[in-house]
Amino acid sequence: MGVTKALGLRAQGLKGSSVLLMIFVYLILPYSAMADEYVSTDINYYKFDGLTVIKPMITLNKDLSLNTSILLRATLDNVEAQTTTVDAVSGATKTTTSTSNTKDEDNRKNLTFGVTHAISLYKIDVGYDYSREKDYTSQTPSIQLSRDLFERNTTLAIGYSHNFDNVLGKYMSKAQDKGSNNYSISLTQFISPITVAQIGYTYSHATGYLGTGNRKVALSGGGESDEYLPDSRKREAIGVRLAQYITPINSAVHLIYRWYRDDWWIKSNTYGIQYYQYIGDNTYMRLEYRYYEQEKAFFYKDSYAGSEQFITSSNLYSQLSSHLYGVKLVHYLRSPNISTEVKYERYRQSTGLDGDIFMFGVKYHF
Amino acid sequence: MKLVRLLMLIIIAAMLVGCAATSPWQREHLSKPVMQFDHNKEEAIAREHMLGTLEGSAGGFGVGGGGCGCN
Repeated sequence: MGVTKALGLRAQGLKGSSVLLMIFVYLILPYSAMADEYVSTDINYYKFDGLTVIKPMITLNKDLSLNTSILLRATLDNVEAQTTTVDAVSGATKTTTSTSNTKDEDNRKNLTFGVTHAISLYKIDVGYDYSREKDYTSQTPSIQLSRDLFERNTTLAIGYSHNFDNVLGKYMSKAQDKGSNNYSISLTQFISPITVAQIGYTYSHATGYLGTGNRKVALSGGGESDEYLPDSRKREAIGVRLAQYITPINSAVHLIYRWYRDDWWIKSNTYGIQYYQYIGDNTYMRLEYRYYEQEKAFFYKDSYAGSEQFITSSNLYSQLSSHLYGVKLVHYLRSPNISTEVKYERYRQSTGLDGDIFMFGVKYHF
Repeated sequence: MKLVRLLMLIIIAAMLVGCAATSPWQREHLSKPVMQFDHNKEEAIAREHMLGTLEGSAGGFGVGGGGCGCN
């Protein structure tokens, strides 16, 4: 009986794995060409003060028919952080005090599934995103509708997503919910045969528990407190991008600007420039600079007495600016149709935080 | 910074004007990877996620991805 059961299970397992194998083979077989079909793997490595993140990603984007394609993506964030049990509120510098140092490790697992369906000049994207870490889970369904206009010189897209999040930080006695409605609209326009521009607007309204539950705040009179943040946050941003091809030297320049504000009184401006230069037919390089500045949230202070309604020790809500410098190299092989890229970036923040970012990616195009 | 904002306003104005139609056979350069916004979507997602943990702002393009307990 036991042997039969074992054989039955083994047969079932074989059947299950065969089905999975058949699905995989079906997905990697060349079909039609609606989407940019590829399998890619990217590894990001971040090294900041007291924080190391290794982030592998694997993505499959494949046509199912002439009009339909699917996207599958799996991401892992392996986070190792040197944490302090008590953070003093930091001002312009990262003046933290600690009562003890510990090493925290967490793995954030993220799965994304998406389907894109095209009907004439319309395209609809439906997606679902799931992520889990030891103190946080998130589920995000999303939908985006886009339409080409004016002989495909213009693309208008509108989107909506909702985050269903659940937080259970180490200083929380019970899990709490957080929800967010996110809306977006964007317009992409060919301005000339060598110029394209895009303008986008996003609005989101998050409610519920908006902290992490992992931070304590040192009080000016001694002692410590939990972090308290407002339970509602409305955010909006406008982004503008322009890409200009420079024919004589086979290069391109991208200009990027983003304006942002929220009802926690954080306002920010982001300025970016990217310069792309072809080096031969199959290789190009990207040089990049990004500058960011933000004003502090209305409740952010360098020190708290403990009687305030909202208190935080996070620099996220302080006044700050940052610089990001980067270089990326991309190389294409024609046969097989593979591209590889390698990237290095340096990030520096006015709070004293700085770090290095490395990325290596390989993409196989069907 | 005012100069950058002025440049952005010019870009928006150019978009609103409607622009000369670009025929499909004129789009050779526009189709190149270096002319695509977020040509590597995975890189863009990873960057947005990283910056969201370091800075108080987000958004501007797209509806965003899943939540995270890191900010």
